[in-house]
Amino acid sequence: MSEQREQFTSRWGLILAALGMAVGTGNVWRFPRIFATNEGGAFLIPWLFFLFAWSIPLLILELGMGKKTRMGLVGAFGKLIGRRYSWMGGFVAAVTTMITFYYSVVAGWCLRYFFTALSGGLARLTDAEAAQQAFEHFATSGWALPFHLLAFGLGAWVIWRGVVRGIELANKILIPLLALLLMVAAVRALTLPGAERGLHFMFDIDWSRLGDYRIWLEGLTQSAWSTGAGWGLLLTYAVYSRERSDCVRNSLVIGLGNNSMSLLAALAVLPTVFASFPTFQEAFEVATYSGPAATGLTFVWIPILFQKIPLGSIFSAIFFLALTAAALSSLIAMIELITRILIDLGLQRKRAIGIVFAAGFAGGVPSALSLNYFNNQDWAWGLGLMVSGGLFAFAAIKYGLTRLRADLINLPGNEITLGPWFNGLLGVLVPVEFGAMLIWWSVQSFGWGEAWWNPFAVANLGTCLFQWGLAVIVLLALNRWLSNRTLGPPGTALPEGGRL
Amino acid sequence: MTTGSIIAMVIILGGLWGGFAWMLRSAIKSEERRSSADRTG
Repeated sequence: MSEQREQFTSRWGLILAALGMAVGTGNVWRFPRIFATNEGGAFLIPWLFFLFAWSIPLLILELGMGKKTRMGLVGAFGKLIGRRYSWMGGFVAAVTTMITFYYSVVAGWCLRYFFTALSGGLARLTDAEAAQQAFEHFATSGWALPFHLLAFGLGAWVIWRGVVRGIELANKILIPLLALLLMVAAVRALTLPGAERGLHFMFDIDWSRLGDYRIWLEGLTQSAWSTGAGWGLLLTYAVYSRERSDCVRNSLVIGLGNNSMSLLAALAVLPTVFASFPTFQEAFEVATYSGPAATGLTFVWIPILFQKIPLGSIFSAIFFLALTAAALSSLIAMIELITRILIDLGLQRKRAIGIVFAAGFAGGVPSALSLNYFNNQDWAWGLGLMVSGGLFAFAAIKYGLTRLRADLINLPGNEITLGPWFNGLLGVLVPVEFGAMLIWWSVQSFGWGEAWWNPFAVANLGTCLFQWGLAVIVLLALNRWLSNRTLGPPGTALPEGGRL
Repeated sequence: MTTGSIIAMVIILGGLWGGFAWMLRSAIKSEERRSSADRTG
């Protein structure tokens, strides 16, 4: 237990790792499709609003909690607001862990498509039907398993190398590479004849659309998804931050950087789609096509569209390499989150990584074999992220918002001081947004056709309540054990910085 | 493209990338100041 805790060597180390955490498939895969589904332009307003009204406040809170407690999620919640609330950290960790299982499968898909693009295999996919069949065959026939293993293995290998030689070094390579690849792809897309139709679609703002509440809720979910706010990932990285790291400025860099990358990805994808079809309607249908497991645009249409442009095979490989880099940099953060909690529970780092690797591979197998199972997990735990955000806001309110600003945020090293307005943002606005979003998602699920209460349905309210309820019951039963293992027996004086 | 969409593009792209670059630059500067202060004790 005397293992020395590593620290990021510089602010760059933390910022690049945190950008790697935030910039993932949510930026390259999800954002262009959600942007298009919400009919372009106007969607940017709520998406930007919630960057500042949801994501950045939660990122600041996560950085502050991790830096203050120097513990993973379970220990951080217990140490900050009391041992009886350790299970809440456990719930946030459970949500991110369940997402990690299928996220690794997605990272495997990206790897496979990159290798196929490199070998010229994507050229065989000449129409949407062939591309969709090829994807579904790959995603359900067992071929996704070795790529899931490879993706999780790569992520675990990076974590094995440690914080500085693993996480920091990997992100120093992956993030600039990702930015460069997306820039190349965007420049190519913007120089295609007809690309201006895509730009027009992206930036022509129809103000009347802002009266539709759904665009606001989609903006909020996209922001929460893509920045990683409320996942606990940034809290985990903050455990390794330096004493004088600046929570507010770092959160702004991460939030703005994440959204910049999303827009860059959309500039690479949407003008390509609009340049490939003569009519607006055809292009719009392709841009918003969800397909199996929402893979339509990325894994069905992109391979076809890139074949249509000069040097398409090369740009196809560049796109899938960028997607792989984004997926891996986020997967690394997820694996570290689980590993950190096991270390707090008393395991040695390398043993913890071994367990996470074995459990992570096994946990992803059902999603690698069945798109229905994949969809169910994506639905249940994707929505669980909203609950995670709500639990973070609860922790802030329970601790005391003014005290929180003084003890966790406005510290030496923080160059931007937060005033009392931040109390309103984190203590009122974020919980209201959480409540509105949860109610909306729940109501929406009533109309999905399947019985809303059926716990074994693919996507309804019942399956969420069943799976979350199971997690809460197990975590409540284990709460005393979890807090004793992470914080020591009741009455133990906690060293600053926790167990390691 | 209409003038409106060009203006929106400039504001949104410029604001996001400009804000990101500005924050990153000030983070680097404060890192340099801190390192220099650490070196001089």
